[in-house]
Amino acid sequence: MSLGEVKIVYASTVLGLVLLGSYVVDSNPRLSRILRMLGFIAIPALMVLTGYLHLHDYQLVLMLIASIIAVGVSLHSEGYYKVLYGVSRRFQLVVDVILASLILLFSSSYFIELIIYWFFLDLFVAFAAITMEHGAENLPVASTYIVMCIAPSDLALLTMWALLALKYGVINSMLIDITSSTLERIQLDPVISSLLLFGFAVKMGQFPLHSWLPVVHGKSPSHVSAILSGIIVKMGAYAYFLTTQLFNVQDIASYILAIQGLVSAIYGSFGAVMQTNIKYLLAYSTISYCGIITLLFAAHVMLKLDVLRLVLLLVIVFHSLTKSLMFINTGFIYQVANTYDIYRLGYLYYVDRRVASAVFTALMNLTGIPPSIGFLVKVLIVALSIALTLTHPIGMLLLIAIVVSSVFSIAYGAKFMSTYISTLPRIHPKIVLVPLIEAFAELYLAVVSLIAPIPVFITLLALKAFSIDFIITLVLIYSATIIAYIVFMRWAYARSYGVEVGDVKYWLSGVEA
Amino acid sequence: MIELIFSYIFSALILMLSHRFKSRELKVLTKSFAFALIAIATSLTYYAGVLDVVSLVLGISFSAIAILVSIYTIHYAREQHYPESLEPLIDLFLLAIIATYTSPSFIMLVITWTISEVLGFTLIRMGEEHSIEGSLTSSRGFILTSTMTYELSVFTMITLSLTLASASVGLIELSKPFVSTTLTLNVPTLVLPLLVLGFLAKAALIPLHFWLPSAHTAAPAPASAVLSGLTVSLGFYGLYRLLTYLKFNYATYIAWFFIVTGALSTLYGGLQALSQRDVKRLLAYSSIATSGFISVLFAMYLVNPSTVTLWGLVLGILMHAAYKTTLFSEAGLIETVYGTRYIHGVRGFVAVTLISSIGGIASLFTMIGVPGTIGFVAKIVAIYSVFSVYNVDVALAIAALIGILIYMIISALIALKYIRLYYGEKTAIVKPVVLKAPVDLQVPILILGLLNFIYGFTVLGAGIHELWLLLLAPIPLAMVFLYILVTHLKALTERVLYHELGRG
Repeated sequence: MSLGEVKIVYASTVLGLVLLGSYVVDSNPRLSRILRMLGFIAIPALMVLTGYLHLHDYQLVLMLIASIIAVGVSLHSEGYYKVLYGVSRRFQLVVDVILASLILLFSSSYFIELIIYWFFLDLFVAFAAITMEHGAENLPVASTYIVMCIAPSDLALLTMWALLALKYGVINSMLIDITSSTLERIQLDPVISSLLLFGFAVKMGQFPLHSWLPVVHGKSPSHVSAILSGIIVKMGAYAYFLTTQLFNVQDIASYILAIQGLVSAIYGSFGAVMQTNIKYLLAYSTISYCGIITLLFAAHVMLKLDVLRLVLLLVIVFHSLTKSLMFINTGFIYQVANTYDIYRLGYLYYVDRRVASAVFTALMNLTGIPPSIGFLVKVLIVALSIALTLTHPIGMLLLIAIVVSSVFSIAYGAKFMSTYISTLPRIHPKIVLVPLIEAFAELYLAVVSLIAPIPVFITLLALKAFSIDFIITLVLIYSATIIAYIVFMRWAYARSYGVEVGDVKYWLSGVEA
Repeated sequence: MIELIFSYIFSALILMLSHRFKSRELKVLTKSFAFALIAIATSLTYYAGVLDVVSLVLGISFSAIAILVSIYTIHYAREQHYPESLEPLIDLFLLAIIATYTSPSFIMLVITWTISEVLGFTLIRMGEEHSIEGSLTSSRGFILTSTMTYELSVFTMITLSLTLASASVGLIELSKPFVSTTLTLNVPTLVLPLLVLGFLAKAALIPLHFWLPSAHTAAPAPASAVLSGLTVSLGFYGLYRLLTYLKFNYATYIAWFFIVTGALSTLYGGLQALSQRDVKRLLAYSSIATSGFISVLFAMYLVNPSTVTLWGLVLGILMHAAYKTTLFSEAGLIETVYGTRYIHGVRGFVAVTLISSIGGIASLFTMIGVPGTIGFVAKIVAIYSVFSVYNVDVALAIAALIGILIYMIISALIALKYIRLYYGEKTAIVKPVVLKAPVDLQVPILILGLLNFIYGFTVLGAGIHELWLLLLAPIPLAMVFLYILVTHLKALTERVLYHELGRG
C-alpha cells in the first residue's frame, strides 16, 4: 500500500471508531469505551509499531501524549455529562471528534493533512466546543478565540503553505511528506521568519497576544479547557518544530521568541497567583509554562543542542499531563460544588478521596515534588540552564524563567489545593455520588504522571544526554520518594472521618437531582 | 454564437410558459429544464471554442443557483402575497444575469446586462411598493447610482473603441468573441476613471457603496439573493472582460487603489453588518465586505495575470454567490416564519426550520472558511495568489495580505453574529407566527447551502486541477462537523423550549 492509501485507511478507521463509540455512549457504554480506546490508542499504536507511520520524534511524543490524554478526558466527560444532563452523546461527539482529530493532526505525513486538521480543529473548537455547555452565552468567548488566536496562527500556517508552494508548486507543496528527513530547508528573510514564529506563538498564548487564553480556557466547558490547555496549545509547539524542520529561520526571530517566552513565563506566574477562579488560575499557569516551552525552543534554535530539544519535549509531556488532569478536575469540582470560586470551596477532600488523591498527585507534578515527572523536568531545566549560563546569555533567561515559575507554582498550587483541604471535616459531610468512570479517569492520568519518569530515565541513559552520576542520583531520589508516596497515600486514603452514609445527593449547592 | 442566443430566447419562452401552469410539479420541471438548457448550451459553446473557461464555470454554477432560486420563488411569492408578475420577473432576471456571465462578446454582454439592470430595478420597485415601509428611495438610488454609472462606463468603452480604433473596426471587434478579438486600446489616463466608475459602483466599493444596503433590503428575498449573490460580482466580471481590450502600464497604481478601497469596504461593510438588526441589511453590508475581498483578488490579477490569480478571482465570485443566495433566501424564510426581519429577538430558529437550517449553517461554514467548503478554497487560493505577487511587488502583496486577513476575521465574526439566530436562548422575544415552516421553501435553501460543498468541484472541470485534494479530502470532516453542530443546536434549542414549557 502507498502512504496515501495507508493514511486514508488510518484516518477513517480512527474517526469511524471514535464516532461510532461516542454515538453509542448512552445505549451501550461498555462497547463505546472499547471502541474509543481502540480509536485513541490501539490503532495509532498499531500504525507506529508496524512501521506504517514513520514520524519525527516531536510528532511521536505529541501523538503519544494526545492519545494518553484522550482516554482520560473522554472517559471523564462521559461520566460528567451523564450525571449533569442524563445523556452524554451530544457532548461526547464533540469532545471525541476533537481528540481524534488532534491525534490525526500530530501523526500527519502530508502537509495537506496538517492544514486540513488544523483548520478543522480551530473551527470546531470555536463553533461547536466552546458553546457546548452554555450555548449562546459563550459566543463572545468564541469570537475572542477567532480574532485573537485563530486568525494570527492560521495566517502563519497559510504563510508556511504559500512559502512551500512557491518552492514546490501548488500540488507538490500539499503532497510533501513532512515526516521525511531529506527535505531541503528553505531560507527565509527576517520578516517572514518572525511572522511565522510569532503567529505560532499566539497559539500558545504568548505575550503580547496572550489575553485570549485566560478567557477562552476559563470560560469553555471543563473538558474542552482540558483539551485546549493540555493538547491544543501544543499545536503551537508542533508548528515551531515543523518550522525549523522545513525552513532556516533567521536569528532575529528566535530573539523575539525568547523575549516573548520570558515575559510570558513571569507574567503568567504572577497572573495565576492573583486569581480566585480555579480555571483562570490554571489558564494563567498555562501561559507561564508555555512561556518556558517558547524560551526553550528559542534556545534550541539559537544553540541547536539536542539536549535542549529533549528537555523541551519533556516539558511538553509534563505540562500536558498535569494541565489536562487539573482541568478535568475543575469539571468534577463544578459538578459537585457548582462553583469555581476558591473561597467558596475547601471541603472537597471529604467529598471524594479518590479524586483528591489524583489532584494531590497533579499538584506534586505542577509544583515539582519528587516522584512526579514535574520534579524531574524542573531539575533537568535548572541543571541545563546553569550549564548554559557559562556560554550563552539565554541560559540566564532560562534560569530566571524556571525559578520564577517554580516558586510561583508552589504558591498557586497551594491555592488550588486549598479547595480540597482548607476546611476542617464536617461532622456529617454530605455524600456525593461520583461516577466510578470519572474517578478512574483522574486516577489514570495521575498514575501516568507518576510512572512517566521511568521511560524518561531509560531515554536519558540511552542518549547519554546528561552525566551518568546525575541521572543515577535522580533515579535514587525517584525510587525513594515513590515508596514514601505510596505509604503516605495509603495512610491518607485509609483515614476515617466518621462519615455516615446517608441520602445520596448530586449537588452540594442545594440543587438536588 | 447564434445557438447560444437562440437558447436564451428559447429558455425565456419556456420560463414565460411555465408561469401559466397551475401545477407546482410542472412549474418546477419546466423551470429546471429551461435553466439546464442554458447550462448545456454554455458547455456546447465552450467546446466549440467561442466561450472561455471562466464563462463556462460561472454559467454552469449560476444555472444551478437559478433553478433553486426560481423554485423557491414559486412558494415565496404566494406566501408573501406578491403580485403574480414576481415569478416571471425573477426568472427573466436570473436568465439575463446568466446570459451576461456567458456572453461571448462585449456588445452582447452590454445588451444582456442592460436588460438585467432594468429587471433589477423593476424588482426593487416591486419590493418597495410591497414593503411595510412604503415608498423608499432605494430603487431610485439603484437606478441613479448603479445603473447610470454602469451605462456611462460601457458607453465610454464603446466610444473609445470607435475613436481609438477606426470607426468601422471598433464595433466589429467588440462584437467578436472575447477569445478571438484582437482589439487593444491605449486608454488615455484621464478617461480611465470613467471606465472603472460603473463597475466600481456595481461592486458597491467605497465610495460608491451607499445604494446597496437599501436596494437589497427593499427587494423581495429571491431578488435580493440574486442581486447580492450574482450581480454584485458582475462588477468585477465586467472589469475582467474589459481588461481584454485595455493596454496600460500603470496597473500597479490601479491595483493599489483596488486594494485600499477593497480593504476599506471590507472593514466598513463588516463593522456595519455587525451592528445591524435587520437581517437583510446585515447581509447587504456583508456583501460590501465580500466585495472588498474580491476587489483585493482583482488587484492581484491586475498585477500578475496568471492562472492562480484568475482562479482566485473566480473562486471569490463563486464563494460570494454560494453563501449569499442561501442566506438571503433564508432571510425570506425568517420573514415568513416570524413576520419580521429584525433578528435580534429571534432565537431557536433550528426548532422551526430544521431542513433549511442545515443549508444555512453550511453557508455559514463558507463564511467561516471550514475546510471542504468553497469558502476555504477561495481563501486559501487568495493567500496563494498573494504570494505569487510577492516576487513582483512586496509592499502590494503585504497590503493585500492584510486586506484578506481583515476579511477572514470579519466574515467569521459576521457568521458568529448570524449563528445566534439558531441558538436556543431564553432571551427570545419574537415568537414564530408559523410553527412549522413550509417545506417547499426549506428544501431549495437546503440544496443552495449544500452547493457550498459542491462548488469547489467546478474548478476541477476547468482550472487548477491540482486543487482536488483540498476539495475532496476535507468534505467528510466538514459533514461530520455539520451534523454535530446541527444536533448540538437542536438539543440546545429543545432544552430551552423544554424549560419554557416546564415553566408555563
